[in-house]
Amino acid sequence: MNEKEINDGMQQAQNIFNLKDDFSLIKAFNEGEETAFNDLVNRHKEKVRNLIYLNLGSTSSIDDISQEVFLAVYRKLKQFRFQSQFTTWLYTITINKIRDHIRKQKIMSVFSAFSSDDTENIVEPGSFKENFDVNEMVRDAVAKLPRKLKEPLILRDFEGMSYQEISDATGIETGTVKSRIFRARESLKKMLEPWREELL
Amino acid sequence: MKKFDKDFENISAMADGELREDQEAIYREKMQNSPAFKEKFNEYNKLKKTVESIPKLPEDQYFVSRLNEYIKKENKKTSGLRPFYKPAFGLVALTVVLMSFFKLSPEFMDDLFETQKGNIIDFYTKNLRPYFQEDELTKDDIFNFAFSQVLPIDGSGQNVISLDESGSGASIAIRQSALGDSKMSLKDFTEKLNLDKTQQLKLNNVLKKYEDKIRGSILVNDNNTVAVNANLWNYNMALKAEILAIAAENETFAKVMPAGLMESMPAFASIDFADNEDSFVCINPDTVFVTSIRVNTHDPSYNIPVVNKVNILKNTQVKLAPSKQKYGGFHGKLGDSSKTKKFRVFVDTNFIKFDIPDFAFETKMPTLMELERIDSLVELSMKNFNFEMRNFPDGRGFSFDMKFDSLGLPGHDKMIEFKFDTTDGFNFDMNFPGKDSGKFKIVVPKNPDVYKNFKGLEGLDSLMIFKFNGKDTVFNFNMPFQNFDGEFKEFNEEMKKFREEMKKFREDFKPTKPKNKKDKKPVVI
Repeated sequence: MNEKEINDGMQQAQNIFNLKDDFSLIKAFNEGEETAFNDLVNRHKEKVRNLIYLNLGSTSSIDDISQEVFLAVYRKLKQFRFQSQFTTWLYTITINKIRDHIRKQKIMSVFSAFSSDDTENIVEPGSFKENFDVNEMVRDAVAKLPRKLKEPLILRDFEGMSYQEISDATGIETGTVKSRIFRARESLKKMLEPWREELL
Repeated sequence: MKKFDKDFENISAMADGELREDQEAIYREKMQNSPAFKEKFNEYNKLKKTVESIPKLPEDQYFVSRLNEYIKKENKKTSGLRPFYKPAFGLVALTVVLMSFFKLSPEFMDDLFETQKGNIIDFYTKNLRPYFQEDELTKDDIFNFAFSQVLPIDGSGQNVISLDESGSGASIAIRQSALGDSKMSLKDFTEKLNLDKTQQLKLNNVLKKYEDKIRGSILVNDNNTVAVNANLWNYNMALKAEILAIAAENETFAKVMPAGLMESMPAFASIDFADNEDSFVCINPDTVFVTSIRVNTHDPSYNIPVVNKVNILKNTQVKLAPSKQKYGGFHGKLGDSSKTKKFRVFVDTNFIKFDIPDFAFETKMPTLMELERIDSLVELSMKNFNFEMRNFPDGRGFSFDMKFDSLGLPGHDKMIEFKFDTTDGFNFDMNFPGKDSGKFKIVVPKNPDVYKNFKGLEGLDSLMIFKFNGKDTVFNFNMPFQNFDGEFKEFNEEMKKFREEMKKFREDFKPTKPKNKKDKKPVVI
């Protein structure tokens, strides 16, 4: 049994464990146990918050969007069909809320001279080479990626989802997921080229 | 390049462990043989690790507490209703309330619309007064109106209001005057028909009576509205019929009148025009509509002249002009919202025309078309034709003598004789009187074979030479059938010569081409 097979086996075992656990919590909540919902939130809130953070590249709206995500989960949990992982369903809701937020921001930007978010997230390659934070650099570069490339890359590399799960969560074909992740990496590579020695 | 992209895409997927086993084996072999592929694989793995290593946000310990508060707050807001259903419920509730309200009081909306409509109509029809002042319409204008259906609306007579029939209804137009508008004058009519003093007085009374009616039928106000009474069409027909009745007292005229026409005319004095008396077509730069207006002719302001009344018509025309065709509403009476009562408005740079299909003429009246046919008879009688018809005994033709009394025509006060005989083919004889009296004869034999040589009468006018030199009248008439081919050949040759001359003329006057700019030498200073 090689290393990959061992890892796959562990991942599968973890998935089974999570499925059972998430499903049992959902069932408990649907049967009237309110605290089961809190357990679900506690288990997944950080993934949701980080997913929002990486997608938006700023911390200003994380709390609001996260609350919207879990409010939607709270209201729709009774409709959950147990046909996919809870996380896939949760990430679908999260991705949709992030998209809603971006759409609202675009509409708002029509009515304001400039958006504060835009000014916060401008990455000038090479502008702080002397005293730079590698992680912040990478996070900013990811945030600068187009939404279509950013979403699957984050779900894959940050959340560790499979192509199939990403396809389920975002509603795009697995072939497209594969292609977009590749393009995202190529774009990221170009953006981080000035710091190639330090990063890659 | 695309091939490499596909390979690199697969390598990227391999780094994610998403490649099928057989594909992965292929790429592992490729990587062993190609350092570039190997380097790419390592690069993607490093990138993956870089992204994976992005530090996560510090955990929010109080998120669940805040979330619970938020959920409670949101649940209170919705009051048990899902947000999606909330507006729908509101709309349903509102609809039910409105339906109940309108069911219980159906007249509410009608009243509301009618009130608003009434307010708008009041605004546009306020202080309407006659377009024509008392001294502005002459007897000639009224007489012309009878026969040409036009009324001059400015001092120069360049613009007119014109009446017409349109399909099953009426039409009214504000347009520039045309040459054919006025065919006969009151003076000619009186003189040619030899009206005696009693008849002239009667005619004057008729003209005066309709002058008042016409004045009251075309109104304007300071809000740029022009209102035309629907009775104007009926007045026009009645006026013409009354004039004809006076003319019919003349023996000459009575001869050319169709038998029984005057007897079929109603007694105009007894016609009640009250049905359409309040119905006005209102034209405004903003809108066009038909409505019922009761004008108080005793109001002191009724006879106050409207300033710039000609401009009102012109402005209306200009402002309505951008839309070539509009549809106006027909506001008959309060509560009448029939959609079928529409009329069309045609607008161009020099006219506005309104078609009112549902317009009802006075039923007792002869139609405009019927009366227009009489116009030619009136004109005929005024030319003082002495018309005597004789039939051939065997019924194969007829002949007549006609006394010509028109200036400029030959044989003044003489008879022109026409004979048409079908006994043997078609024989048409004309005898012109006068100093150089002409005579010609058209004979079309029975034998149809000769018809192919028949040139027809189309060229008759163009080949007729008609000269009038002082008192001497020379009337030369060249029949197209005599030496027609020869003359036509000669004509063609002359035309050919003319074309050649024109061609030469064009070439002589052809502008010389300017010299090429490159040929120009620079000016040396």
